Order: sequence, then C-alpha cells, then structure tokens
Amino acid sequence: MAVKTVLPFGPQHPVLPEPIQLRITLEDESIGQVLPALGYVHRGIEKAGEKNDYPLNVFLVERICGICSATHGLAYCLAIEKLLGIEPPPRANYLRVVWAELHRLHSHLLWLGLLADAFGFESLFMQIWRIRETVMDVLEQTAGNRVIISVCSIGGVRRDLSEQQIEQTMNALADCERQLKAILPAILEDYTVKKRTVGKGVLPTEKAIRLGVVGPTLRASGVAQDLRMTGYAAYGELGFEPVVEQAGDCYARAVVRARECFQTIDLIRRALERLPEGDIQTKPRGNPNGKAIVRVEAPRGELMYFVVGNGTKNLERMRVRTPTLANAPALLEMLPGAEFADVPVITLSIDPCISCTER
Amino acid sequence: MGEAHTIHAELPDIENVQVVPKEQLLERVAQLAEQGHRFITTTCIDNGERFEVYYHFDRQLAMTHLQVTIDRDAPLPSITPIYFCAFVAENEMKDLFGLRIDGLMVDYQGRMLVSDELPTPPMRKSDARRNGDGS
Repeated sequence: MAVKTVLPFGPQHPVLPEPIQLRITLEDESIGQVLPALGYVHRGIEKAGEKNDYPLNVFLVERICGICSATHGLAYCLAIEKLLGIEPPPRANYLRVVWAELHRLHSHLLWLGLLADAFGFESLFMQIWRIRETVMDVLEQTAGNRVIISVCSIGGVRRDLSEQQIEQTMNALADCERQLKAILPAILEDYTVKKRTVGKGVLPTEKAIRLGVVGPTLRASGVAQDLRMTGYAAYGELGFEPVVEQAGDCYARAVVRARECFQTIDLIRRALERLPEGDIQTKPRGNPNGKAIVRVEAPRGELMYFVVGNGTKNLERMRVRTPTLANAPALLEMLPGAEFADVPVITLSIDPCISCTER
Repeated sequence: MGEAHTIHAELPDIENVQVVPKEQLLERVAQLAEQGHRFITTTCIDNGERFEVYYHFDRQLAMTHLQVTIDRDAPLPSITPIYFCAFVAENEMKDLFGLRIDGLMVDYQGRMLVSDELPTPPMRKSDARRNGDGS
C-alpha cells in the first residue's frame, strides 16, 4: 500500500519567488490532493482603494503587481473614464498600447526565464533575462522607471514619446526579436525541455473553461479568447488575432507565451508606426458615479476591475480580479496524479503571481 | 434595478445584470454552466444595509452578471458544487465581509486571507458609517 505523506510546498521554496503554500498529499511519488494556503502577504488594496481619492488610486493599483503594473493602471483608468464619461485622445490610446505591450513582453520573458530555471537550465535562464534587460532599458528610457512606470493617468497618459525615443524603441525591438529568434529554439525544440513539459499538467478545453482559467493558460487549451479582441485602447485599430495552441500541457503554455512575444513586438511596431499626432491628456471633470466593469488582457490573462462610484472623490467599492486568482484553482486539477518532481514546472506553467493574488 | 446597472452600452463584451432571488441562484448558475459559461469572479458590495453579491460570467467575451441581494447575516448557498473554481472568490467574501456561505467545497473557515487576530471582517462597513456619521 502506498504511504501517504503531507508535504508543504512553500511558502519558501526555490521555485516560488513569492510566498504561497501548496499542501500536497503524496502517495509514494505521485500527488493525491492539493490545497493552497494563501494570506501570507495580503495587503487589503481593495479596502485602501475606498479610502484614497480616486486619482490617487492609479498609483495604488500599479502596486498590486510590479510585472503588469502598466496593465493595472490602464484597467483602472479605463474604468474611471467610463464613469466620468471621458475619452482619452487617440495618441494616448496608442501610447497605452505601447507601454502595456512592453510590459507583456518583459513579463513573458521573465516567465520563460523562470521556466528554464524551474527545471534547472540556469544558463538559459540568464540568456533570456539578458534579452529582457533590453525591454527594461526601453521602459526606463521612455517612462523613467524600469518596473512601476506610472504612465497611465485618468484621461490619458503622463508622458509622450519623442521621435528619438520612438527610433530607439524600434531599434531595441529589432534587437530583442533577433536575440529571441536565436534562443527560442533552445527552449522549444530541446529534448530535455520537452521531456519535462510535454504531456505534463494537461488541461483539456472543457475543463479549462469550467475551471475558469484565463490568458495563456486558457489559450494553450485551445480557446481563442483574448480580451484584446474587444478592442479597448487602440487594439481595435491595430488588428489582433489571438495565439492558440491545442495540447493544453505545460509545453503548449510555453509555446503560447513564446509566440506572443513576437506578436507583442509586432503590435508595438504597428502602434508606433501609426502613432497619431495630438494631445495626450483629456482633463477629467467631476467625481465618478455609478458602476463600471472593465476587463483587459494582462500578461497573465484577464484582469477585471469593477468600480463603484458614489459621486464623491472616494470610491464606494473597487473590486479587482487578477489573472492568478482565476488560474490557481486549476492547479488543484492539474497536479493530482502528477509526479512530485513535476510540481515546480506545473505550478510555474500558470505563471502564478502571488502579489496579484494577495491584493 | 436591472437598468441602473447596465453601464456598458458601448462595450460589446459586457451584458446586463440579472437580478436573481437567493433561492434560484444555484438553478440559474447551473444553467449558465450548462451553456458553457466561464466563471469570472464574485463581487460583494456592502451598501450599508444589505450585501449585494454579483456573480460574473463570461461566454465568448460577453459577460453575464447575476445579482443577489441578501441581509448581512443571512446565509448564501455556495456555487462551488457547480463551479469548483469559485472557492477562492467565495472564501474571500467570507473573510473580508463576514458573508455566510453554506456548502463550500473548500472551506477556510473565514481564515484564508486574514488571521485570527482580526476581530471583525475588514471590508464590512461600520455601523457608524451606515448611520451617516461619516466615520
């Protein structure tokens, strides 16, 4: 008879940069039941969102998650703009796309590096993070910061791009694309990598929908769903087709993210080429009143803001549903039956962001 | 009430809100599950008197919202037997609002996010504020 052992995976574990615990019941080497334990770093940001003035919340929500801070800022600003009934100028919409996509690019590269690290391929991890540095430099050149770039404001964006900055960005993108093309085969066609990812943590289409997964995890299970298809900001004018894979395993999730890197580079190029002239800011007037829901595609998937205004400078309620909150329950389905050695790779394959989860 | 909540006329990805009595919630959720909707999350709003609980669903980028209004100390049935993934959102409401939820498949007993040291659910509006004292 198999010996049952309960093993705590985390909150401190080399593969998890942030604290979450998976209580894993092992039957010999295979996984039985999994229960996540949250709440190690819960910050109560939804509550803080009710205490701050609504313009101040832009800075607050950007701190929900560093890696996708631009997307959080964008989603919150879109929600407040809906309540105030204002439209940002076209140039601001295009610039928002540029910065949101730059964040997606560096988030995906960060993840690809962490994946390599999760199965012990450290030199590949370093190589990918070196490419990521190119993107971080672009962020610093254009927004003044590497991670929390604070570019979105209610009614537009805070910074404009000069001709020189656009040229520098284009050059950096070309550089990034060239390096990626050289290095990605090392991940996606490598025998060892395939051995560790193909057929691991399989999530069939129907289960993926029933478990409510989002983003690359959903698209790797054959569902063509990406919030950018709804055309918020300037996505409607730029043309967009989601990246879809059918297998639903860890490998498919890696392929989706790798292909999305190139798609993102294309989107940034198109946005910069078609960048309209004009203002970058519409002045917000009045206080938000009513209810608004905005969904945008963060690097990890669907990000939802439900904002309730009451006509004062404070919000009545600010609900934030981050992608990892939707992807985490799927782990309880993917892990049972797997080998214990595959826990790091499968856990990482949903790109968990505990910072997002513990708003 | 339904009209007042329809705030997304210009965006095709969001549909209107359906107000559902508590007794019919599970039946309605089961229908949505059968039609292939993806569960997004729940939102609890404390309007000072009662809880407005929203259940958000998505199907091919179109949203459906169910809204249940209940007394603050009344129990709500869990939808986790239908959508297992809702356990995160429901436990969160339980922690932060002190909402009573019956039949949770994974129950953290109100201690998923908050610790034992917290005396009251943090997101619940205080009685003083309800009475209009501004505190």
